Amino acid sequence: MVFLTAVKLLRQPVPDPWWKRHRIFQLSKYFYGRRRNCYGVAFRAVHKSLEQARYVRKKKASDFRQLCILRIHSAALEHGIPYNALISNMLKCNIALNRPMLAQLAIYEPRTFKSLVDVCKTKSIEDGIDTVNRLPPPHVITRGML
Amino acid sequence: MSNARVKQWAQFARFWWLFDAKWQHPKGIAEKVKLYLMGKHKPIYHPFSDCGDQVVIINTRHVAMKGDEWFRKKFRHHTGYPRGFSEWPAWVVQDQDPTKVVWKYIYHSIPQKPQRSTIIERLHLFPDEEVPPDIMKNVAAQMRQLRPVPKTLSEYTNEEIDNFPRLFEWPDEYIIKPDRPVSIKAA
Repeated sequence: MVFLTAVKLLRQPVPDPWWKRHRIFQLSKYFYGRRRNCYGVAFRAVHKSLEQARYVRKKKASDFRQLCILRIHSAALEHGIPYNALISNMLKCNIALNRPMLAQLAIYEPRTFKSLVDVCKTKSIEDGIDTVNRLPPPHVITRGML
Repeated sequence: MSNARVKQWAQFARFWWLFDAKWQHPKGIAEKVKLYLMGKHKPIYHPFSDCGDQVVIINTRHVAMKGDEWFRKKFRHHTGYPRGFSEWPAWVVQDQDPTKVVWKYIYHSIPQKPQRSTIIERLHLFPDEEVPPDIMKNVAAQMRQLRPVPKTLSEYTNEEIDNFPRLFEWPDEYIIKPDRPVSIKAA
């Protein structure tokens, strides 16, 4: 004898709602008041906090880049050229140092940074952009000399 | 014993700068001096690290503005109460307090943030060249001026005037017409 209708009586049980709420409360543990303990309020607060985290992740990178640019600019001005002159001439010379690295060099390796500045000054004089300084800084060897 | 500690102290020490404001525009002064006050002239700058320097500005009585800007530039103030608005041309403020104009330009050029009050505390303004000795003994270096200060005709000696190269000499009978008087529109 086969009880066919018994199969239809077997229905998936409702999943325990605790787990769904737990996923939200894990992220709202440090919130204020009802945002911490009440599901409806916590749900909205958690989603807002995740949106903010996504926005800030991009902003953190751009803030760090802005700080590096400011540091490079102030270090290059100590040697007499602004940031834009340094970066554009480095691109032309195919020196592929990125901004965080340049900022670290400016702080911890000042003589290396000065030599980079000298290379950029020489490039701008050889290209005819810098018409004020006729003589390039000493100890810079360029392709035309060799 | 390594001297890394001494190097650290020397790197992060607060520096005292001197700036001569004679015949400079207060806006140009503000743009230059605010960088030194905030520490943005240093490669180690960070907004949290309080790396700004002290700046002493002398000769604020002798700052210069262009044409009739002393009459056109107005400083506004509102007390917060009704009928509390007042507007003063720059020359009135300069007469009342010779350091106030430069101070206002510098204060408003620094971004409005919690550190602004500490940053502006490190600015010292003096109307003439007299600086108290306890401030002057801290001053270590002078900042370059923005505009070159030309020599007035009275500062040239007679010999220099006579020996200055001329293209031609006016004949003795020639009468040189006086220049038109400058018209200044008073506020």
